[in-house]
Amino acid sequence: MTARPVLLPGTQCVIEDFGDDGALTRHLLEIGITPGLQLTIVRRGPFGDPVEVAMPGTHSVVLRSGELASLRCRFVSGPLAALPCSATGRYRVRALQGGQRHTRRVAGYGLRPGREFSLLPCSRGRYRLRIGADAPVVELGRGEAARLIVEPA
Amino acid sequence: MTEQRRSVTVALAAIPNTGKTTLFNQLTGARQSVGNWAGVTVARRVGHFELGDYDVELVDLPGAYSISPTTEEQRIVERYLMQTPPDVVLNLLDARNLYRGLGLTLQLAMSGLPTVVAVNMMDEARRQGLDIDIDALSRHLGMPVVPIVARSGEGLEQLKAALREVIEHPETEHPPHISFPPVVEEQVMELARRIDALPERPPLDESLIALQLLKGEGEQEVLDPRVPGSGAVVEEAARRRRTIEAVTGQPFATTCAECRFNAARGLAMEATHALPRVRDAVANRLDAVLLHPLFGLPLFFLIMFVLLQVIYAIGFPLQDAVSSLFAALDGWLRALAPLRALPPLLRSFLLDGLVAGVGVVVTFFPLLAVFFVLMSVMEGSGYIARAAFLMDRLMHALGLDGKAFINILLGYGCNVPAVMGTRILSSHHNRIVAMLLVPFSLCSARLQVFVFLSAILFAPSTAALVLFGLYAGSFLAVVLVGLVLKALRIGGRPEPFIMELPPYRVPLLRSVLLRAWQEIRAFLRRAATLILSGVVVVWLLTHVPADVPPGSAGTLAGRLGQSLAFLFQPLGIHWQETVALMFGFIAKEIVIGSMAVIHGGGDLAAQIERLVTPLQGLSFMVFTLLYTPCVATVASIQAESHSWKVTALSVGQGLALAWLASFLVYQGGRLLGYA
Repeated sequence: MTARPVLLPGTQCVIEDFGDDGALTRHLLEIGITPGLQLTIVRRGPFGDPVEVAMPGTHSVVLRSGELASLRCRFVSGPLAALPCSATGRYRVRALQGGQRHTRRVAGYGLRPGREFSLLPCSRGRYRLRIGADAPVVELGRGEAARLIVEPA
Repeated sequence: MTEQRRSVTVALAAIPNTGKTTLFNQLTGARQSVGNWAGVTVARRVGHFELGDYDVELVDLPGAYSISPTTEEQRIVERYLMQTPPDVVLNLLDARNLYRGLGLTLQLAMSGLPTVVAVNMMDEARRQGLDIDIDALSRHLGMPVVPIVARSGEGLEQLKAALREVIEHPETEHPPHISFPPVVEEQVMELARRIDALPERPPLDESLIALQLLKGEGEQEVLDPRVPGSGAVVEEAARRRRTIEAVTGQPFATTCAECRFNAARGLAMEATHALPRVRDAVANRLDAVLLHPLFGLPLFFLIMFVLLQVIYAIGFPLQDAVSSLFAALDGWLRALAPLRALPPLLRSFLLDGLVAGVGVVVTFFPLLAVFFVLMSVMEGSGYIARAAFLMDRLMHALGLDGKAFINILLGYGCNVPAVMGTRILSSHHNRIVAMLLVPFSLCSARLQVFVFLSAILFAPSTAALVLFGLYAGSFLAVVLVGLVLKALRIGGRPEPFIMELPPYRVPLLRSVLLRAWQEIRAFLRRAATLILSGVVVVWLLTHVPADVPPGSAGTLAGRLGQSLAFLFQPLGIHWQETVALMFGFIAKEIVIGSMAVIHGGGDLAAQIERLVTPLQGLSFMVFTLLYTPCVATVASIQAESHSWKVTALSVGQGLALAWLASFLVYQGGRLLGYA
């Protein structure tokens, strides 16, 4: 069970359930946002809120992150930075984003598309990854983690 | 021939952003009337068209995602369908948004009401490479489905033919069955049987009524509580809901929506052979720029700046042109012999009261036209939703959503259309709060007063600072009052914020012009009487008794101004200016002119310079900024809110804040040593 992903652009997740039965939940249900639907976070507003959420087969929807707080959404893929520190486990690199220098450096750690790795508990706000059993631990900052697209392995 | 004509009612139902208004306009042309749904701030549009031997009354239902009472709009739709069901429902879908739209379609199908489905925007769907299998949709829904392009009129003849066919043979429809978990099916069937046994119930399919009751919300819209046995049925529904929830382990509303949208997803896939990619490349590129985290807001402010400039460059000159036309008419009337023969008081009543009042109403027409042309271009293009996205975080602090910012900003041009424009906001709460805040935005009429007075009382460099300060004060007032209204929960509970981002579109000229025309008509019908009464009251105050000059010490207003001196003395406002403020209720522009009259003619600037100190002038301007904007704004607030309480609150809060702020400015200034 993965913890709730952070609503970062590029994050894809599948709705598992709504935390409550409030007015917002009713409203979401009525526009077809039901458990099992895959959401993609497209972008966030200039001050971090609201959030544009896309879903297959229908126009995207703008919601406030505060109102999304009770939604439980299973992480499908997205930037590593969308994962909270508690979301340890096995993941696979899906894509590398960003400039050439960054991709070359990250690839230098062995983090190429298709590679699996274990996510260890963070330390001092940095993500810690181990690619092989005896491989050294790789530390990534938030900025690097935001450009490493991963999926659960 | 009229004896053979039969009238039928068709209700147009759709989720938002499907082109409903365009289809409505195409079908009914200009044969439509705009009112309000009983007791609420939501517009009710009804139009007519002919269909063979039938006179069709087309009722435009508010945009609703579902027949359930979650939003005010949806409550209206539910109440309408349950209590006064139409003969036929015309349901509109957006070809690129089938999944979401079909959620409502399936509910309508379950209602048992004869329904025709039109799939709109077929052209845009084709351009995106979407091929929609209309036959499959029709087969699965068991009702006629017609592909149309509402903008161009493509497919409308086929749609009318289908409507006619359903009106004549409603029994040919065979609505689909949505499969629910066995426990739901069982409970719905048993509850439906109980509903069927009631002496009186909505003439809709009892399974749909059962489903509505099981949701446990808004039962009174579905079943009339006065019908014997309805209370027992509602209680039974609650019991059965608990039975279902115990089995499924989730709220019934979730189960219900899941089943409906699973069916909708299946249908959409069947009709398109895959779920369509909704975002086209152009929209993606536009959004990347217009919603950019850094450049989005500056671009938005640039667009709003241009809009305000257009209002100033076209709207106000047009308004001036109409004013001078009216002044010419006024001059002509004054010279007219039969009018000159009338007793002076009656003549003054006709000319300074009634004609002046009509003048106030008429001079708003060009402004409203320009304003609503711009507003509907923004709305029709899809940009307004983007603007709301950009501004939402800031406006949320005031308990409003991003759209309300546009109203308040446009209020800096003119408050009247800004108040009328609150109709585009998404909930009752937002509409009420926004229309209470708009009057604090410094409109062009107030600007005229400030420019005139500050030029007389201050050195040019100080005058510019004073103007800047007044703009800042206006902004501060909006924020402060917004925070207070939020804390006091005026306007009721805010609804959760959920907004679809519609695709970009080029607005239709026809729709834009029709909208401007309808707004002017609505203003004329709903606000004109109140404006005229307001002007007449001010006339009465300032012109009676007739044997003294208007506005002078001997008139009602003069006496009122003098007896209110105890209130205005601490603000540094003389009774003459108090009378000018009363005149200012008609329109802020006439404050200056009325001061000239009150001071008995002569060089107004010199008189003001002699009588009013800069500090007193500043206090007067602060009062003018904040107190009741003008009778037309008040009338619009009344017309939009349908509430005298809200109207009174608007006037009261303006006066109170104006007094307080002027008091602080004047007394603070004196403490600092200014006169």
